[in-house]
Amino acid sequence: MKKLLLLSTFAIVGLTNAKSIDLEKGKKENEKKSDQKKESESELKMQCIQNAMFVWCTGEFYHDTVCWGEGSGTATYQQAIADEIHNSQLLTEYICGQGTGSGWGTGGPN
Amino acid sequence: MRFYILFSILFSSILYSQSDSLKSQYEVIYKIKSFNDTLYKYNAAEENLSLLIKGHKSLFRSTQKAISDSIAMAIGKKSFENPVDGKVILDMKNVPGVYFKSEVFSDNGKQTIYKELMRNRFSFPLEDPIQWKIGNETKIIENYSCKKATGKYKGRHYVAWFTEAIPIPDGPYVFKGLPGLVLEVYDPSDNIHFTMVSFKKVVKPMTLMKDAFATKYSTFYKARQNSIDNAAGVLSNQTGITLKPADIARINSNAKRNNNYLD
Repeated sequence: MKKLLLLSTFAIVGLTNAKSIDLEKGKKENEKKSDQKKESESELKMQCIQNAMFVWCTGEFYHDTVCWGEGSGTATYQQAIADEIHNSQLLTEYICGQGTGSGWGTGGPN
Repeated sequence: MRFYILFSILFSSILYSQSDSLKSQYEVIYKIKSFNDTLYKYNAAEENLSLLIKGHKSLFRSTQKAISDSIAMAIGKKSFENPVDGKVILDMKNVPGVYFKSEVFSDNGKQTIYKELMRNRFSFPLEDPIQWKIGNETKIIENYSCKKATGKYKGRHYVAWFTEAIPIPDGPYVFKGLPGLVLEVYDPSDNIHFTMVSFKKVVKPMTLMKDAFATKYSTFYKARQNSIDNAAGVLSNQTGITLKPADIARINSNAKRNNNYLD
């Protein structure tokens, strides 16, 4: 009888602990999910940064705004800045021309 | 038993995914020397180009391109992370230029050419492979005995020197299909000249140009012609940047200086 009581006590304690672990796990998962939701919501929301592309051979700037998120046509920040970096490269290459040490946009047997 | 089945499925899928990414066995480095304006042969442009070979497949491209792109990204990302008075300043002065932007992928002799025009990328099959004529002349290049071959590509004659000591029917750009590796190729006016610099066993990933629009040569040719005739307009259209009048004139003038296309 004593043995039976001991076993049932162990079982109850075990189940209670497991339940509390499950609850904590569930709570953490919910927190994680809400954080992820917040992050994805902020990713979805359109955001913009102003920038200036410097053309070193003329000493002039081209001002531009780069956006990402919903409605901008660019999904992520990473993609948006990669596009703008490429634009800046092209601008330098095509304005400063060939053999300037900055680009071959208008040269090469391409 | 179930564990073993699961393990073998997992292992084979890992193996399959690894075989999906092509890696080279050999790398040939060539140097290109060419003039942008064949009427004004001053200061030839030079750049190292890489031919990665794996069995019957090869990829030819500039060694400078990946370096240039990664430097541009590093400079650009740093600028975005460190705005000056709340504004990002992008300065690409220190990004090394890329001279040779074309790439060629060859699979069992079937060649695909990849081209870049500003932000647009094109890919098209080689429609007119060079019909080589092998001559009797020989010469030594880098200790390899080479035979002479002549052929025509897009209206221009070329002389190629290939070695049967390296029985790989490959070479720079579209100059392939000879019974040995091409070590040197040039046009008789020497406007374009490829020379082998090294040949080594090298394992490198052979990654194709991404997001290329698959088309025909004629479509690419029209697009390139348009980007020469109206360079500033095309640049403005592709980047969304309104150019200043002085820069429009400058860009259009720069674009018309080049008359030495490899096609």
